[in-house]
Amino acid sequence: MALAHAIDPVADAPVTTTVLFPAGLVGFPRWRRFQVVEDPETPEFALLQCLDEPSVSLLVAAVEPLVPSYLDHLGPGDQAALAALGVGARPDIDLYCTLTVHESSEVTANLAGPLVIDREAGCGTQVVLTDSTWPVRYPLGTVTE
Amino acid sequence: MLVLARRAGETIVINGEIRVTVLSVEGERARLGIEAPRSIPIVREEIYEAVRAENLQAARTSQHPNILRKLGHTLRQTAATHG
Repeated sequence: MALAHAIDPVADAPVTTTVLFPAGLVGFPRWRRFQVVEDPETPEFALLQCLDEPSVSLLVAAVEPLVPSYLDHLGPGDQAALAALGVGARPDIDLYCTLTVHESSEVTANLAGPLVIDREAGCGTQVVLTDSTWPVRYPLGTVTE
Repeated sequence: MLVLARRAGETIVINGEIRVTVLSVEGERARLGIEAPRSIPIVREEIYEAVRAENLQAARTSQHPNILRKLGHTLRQTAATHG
């Protein structure tokens, strides 16, 4: 699924989509309202800017381009849970992971707590996997000078 | 914390809609069977805490502008490896 599927035809300005996470993010129930900010210059990732807590923003990326086998290697319970949310069945449902850049410059993806975003409905949820072995810190490489 | 003693095969009911059954107890390990509406997430605490901690860590990552410029390159390389 492409992150930048709705590039502004007027200018290469970032595209924003408002999304409500009714339960907040895991551990942070007050982080509910977000804007997904997609910059055409960096289509590999997007910024999830919290509107309830302006100091909070997370980098996210679509899971599939980074880890194409992700859905295939989920446990049956997690496969059913994500399928119930429309993942893999509806094109307007995006599956993201948060990205962390560590002090060591290593970049990791949180594959144990993926984000499911329904663009059509403007809502999202963070799922915690239950019967899969995808890690919280899946290595993607390092940011280099 | 409410503390209840239960034997294997016995159940507790929470709020009339969640049933937790002790399936077996072997040493320090208990197997629990949980019946609950699909809308109620049930997760292992250690994974929940790990995801929570990573959310906090991830929220700090985007505050470094230089990282954003470099990150695209790293992700393109990763995707190309899988492509």
